[in-house]
Amino acid sequence: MLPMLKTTYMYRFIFLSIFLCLSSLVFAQVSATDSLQVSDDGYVPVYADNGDSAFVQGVQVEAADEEPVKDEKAKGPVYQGAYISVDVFDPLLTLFNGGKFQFEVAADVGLWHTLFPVVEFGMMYYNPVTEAYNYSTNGLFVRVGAGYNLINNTIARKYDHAVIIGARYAYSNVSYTLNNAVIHDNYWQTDDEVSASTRNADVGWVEVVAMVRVQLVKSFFMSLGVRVQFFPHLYKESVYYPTYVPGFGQYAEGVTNWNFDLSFCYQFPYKKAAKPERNK
Amino acid sequence: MIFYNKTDNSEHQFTLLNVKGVGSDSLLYNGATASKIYLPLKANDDTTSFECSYTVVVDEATSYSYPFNIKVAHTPMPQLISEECGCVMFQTVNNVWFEGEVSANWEVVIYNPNVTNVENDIHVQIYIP
Repeated sequence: MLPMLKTTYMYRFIFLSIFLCLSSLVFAQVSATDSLQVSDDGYVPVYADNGDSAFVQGVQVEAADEEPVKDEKAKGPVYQGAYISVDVFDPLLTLFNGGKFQFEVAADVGLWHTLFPVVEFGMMYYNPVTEAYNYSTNGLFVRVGAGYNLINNTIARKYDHAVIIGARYAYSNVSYTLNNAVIHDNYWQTDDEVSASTRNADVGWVEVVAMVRVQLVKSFFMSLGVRVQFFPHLYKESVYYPTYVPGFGQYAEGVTNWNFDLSFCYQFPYKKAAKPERNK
Repeated sequence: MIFYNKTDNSEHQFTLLNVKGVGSDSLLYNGATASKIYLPLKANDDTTSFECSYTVVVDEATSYSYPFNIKVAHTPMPQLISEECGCVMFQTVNNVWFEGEVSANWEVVIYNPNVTNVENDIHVQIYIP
């Protein structure tokens, strides 16, 4: 039964991966400079030029460069900035979720402002105590993956705005302890208080991520994202499992979780280095 | 726990089966006809015993009762399912054996030692010659 389930989730993952790849092909990138004629002063004709029509004032496109972008250079240089992000959603949620503290940072690199390889790292600590149990869990997690930017027009490239979909593989090492668990048995008419020794588990899962990142001020960004997390699996098969997994949330076999991110992000400067070359 | 006839691997039906946990006043099975029995293991002990008997009725005037005991050695381990569901006790079945004349030749196969929160799961198979 278990291998069949895992095979099913593996097929689901493969299907989603193929779907993401096909989506990437469907969302063709059309640069504004390819589809619109931008005049030297940055104005765009709204309707066809019939000889006597003028450019409509007030519709202005801010070009990424003063010179029109040539086709072969449309995507610009490969390296287009490195980003480091700090999530604030989970720390804020600590105030409302019973004290589950989770914190994560992420680093990603923009390649052609299209592809964003990313590494995310975080930790979690949670110690729910009720009359029925005292559960303590903590651990680290790391996610690796890549994102694909769906908008790559002139404005998006000028400000490095991005709408990103991507995939991650995540790994977490978690240790957990269950103490003072009260087990009521209807047949034996007992209420036993039992404890378990600290256990350790390695957990992996897969994520599909969608994220919007916008520049607030120069080099500083805010991003809002949603994650669909699925195919959780223990590296070492066991009937016992951690109830809460760092970076994932509540664990159960075959469960799908949704999580949200609100991050503030710093972009290491990269355009400044390119300007002197252009002035030469 | 499921009982089989060793000769043809068919399920062995007990008639007028009584099962009671040792130390409890409640009967788990009372005059039942069954080939499968579900036994609650103690949460804070590593051995649980059950007193059992079944009766074979020959005719209205004649019947034979066969008592036997089941002993299960197990390791309990609590598991928190979720905040809403709370804790349950998972068990690992280490050994199962019988006491009583009738059960001297019964063969025990621990089919799945992990007793988790799955209803009507079979963990032990008993083959009766």
